Amino acid sequence: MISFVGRVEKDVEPPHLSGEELFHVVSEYGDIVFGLQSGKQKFPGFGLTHN
Amino acid sequence: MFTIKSDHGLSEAGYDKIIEWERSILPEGNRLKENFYAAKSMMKPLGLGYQKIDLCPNFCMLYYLKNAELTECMTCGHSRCKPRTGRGKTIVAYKKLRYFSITPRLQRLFMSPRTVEHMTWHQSHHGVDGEMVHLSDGEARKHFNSVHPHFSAESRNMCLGLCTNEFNPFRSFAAPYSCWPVILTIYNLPPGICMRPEFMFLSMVISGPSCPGQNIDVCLRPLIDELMQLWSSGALTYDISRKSNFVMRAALMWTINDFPAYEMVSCWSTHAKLAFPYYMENNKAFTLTNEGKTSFFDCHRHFLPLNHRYKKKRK
Repeated sequence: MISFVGRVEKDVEPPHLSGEELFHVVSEYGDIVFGLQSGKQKFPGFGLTHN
Repeated sequence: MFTIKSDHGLSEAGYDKIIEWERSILPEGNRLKENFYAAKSMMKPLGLGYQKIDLCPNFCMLYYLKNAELTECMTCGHSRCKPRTGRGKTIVAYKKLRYFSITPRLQRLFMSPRTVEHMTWHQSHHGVDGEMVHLSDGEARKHFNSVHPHFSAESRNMCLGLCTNEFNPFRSFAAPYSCWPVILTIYNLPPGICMRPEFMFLSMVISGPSCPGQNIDVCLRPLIDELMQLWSSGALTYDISRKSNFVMRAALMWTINDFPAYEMVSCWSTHAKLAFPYYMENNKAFTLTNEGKTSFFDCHRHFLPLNHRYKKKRK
């Protein structure tokens, strides 16, 4: 069981990415084929580094 | 009569009956149109119109620009039009997208003396420090102005917001139908009139019955093209208050959705641990040991500054 009592938060705030930085990250994932019949398309790292 | 019909939801048959009665009491030779269809035909040139674009029923592609002449989908091979039945010569597409071009609607705001005075309110008003009465007082907008000084130098340039959400035109217990209106709002206007229906422009209607899902990007293509054109080169617009032309540019500042629609617009799943499209993998979600569910409990404290007292709170 996870306990939160007495836990001290030591991590800092995650970085604020600008629009260009976000676009740069997202553009590395590659293109998908649009359409309801093209099925689910997942790139490597789904759920770990991207969603 | 058109205004009365739309304001009170008068049926077409009711409209025709009233017109029939009015024509009977008017003298001979009057020019009152005989029915709703004739009146609508007369009023049509005054409207700004819309464009019908054929769409693959599986949301694979739009029959638009260089693909306008295709007869079947390039991805799934689905036919563009329904097969002809009987003697009818009309060709009917399986699915159509109705697109209302935004540029003439924005230009019209500068042609009316009643609306043009409000179009520069976002830069002319003087807010109180520490109070935010409009989005132009926010830090995001000030940062945008500093990054794009050429855009912000012209106060008549437009700042837009894009809103979309699922809408069922029928009752929820009736046949399920997922219709997606896309609405553009103008953040140049003061808060009192910013959200009035006459200043919220319906840009397109994505018809159902199925939800487009992440394929909504296919349908948004004409709007994105027009917004890109308004951002890069702008549109020549007449300003009636200054009696001169200027090049109006527009920027899409925000998109406004609920969380499920956010998944569709951003193409980033809002489920599981990486539910935030902005912070991506930089969050501290965890899975409950016995339930197997994702939890975001106590994930907010690492957003606090280092010297905040809640960082070290032990109870």
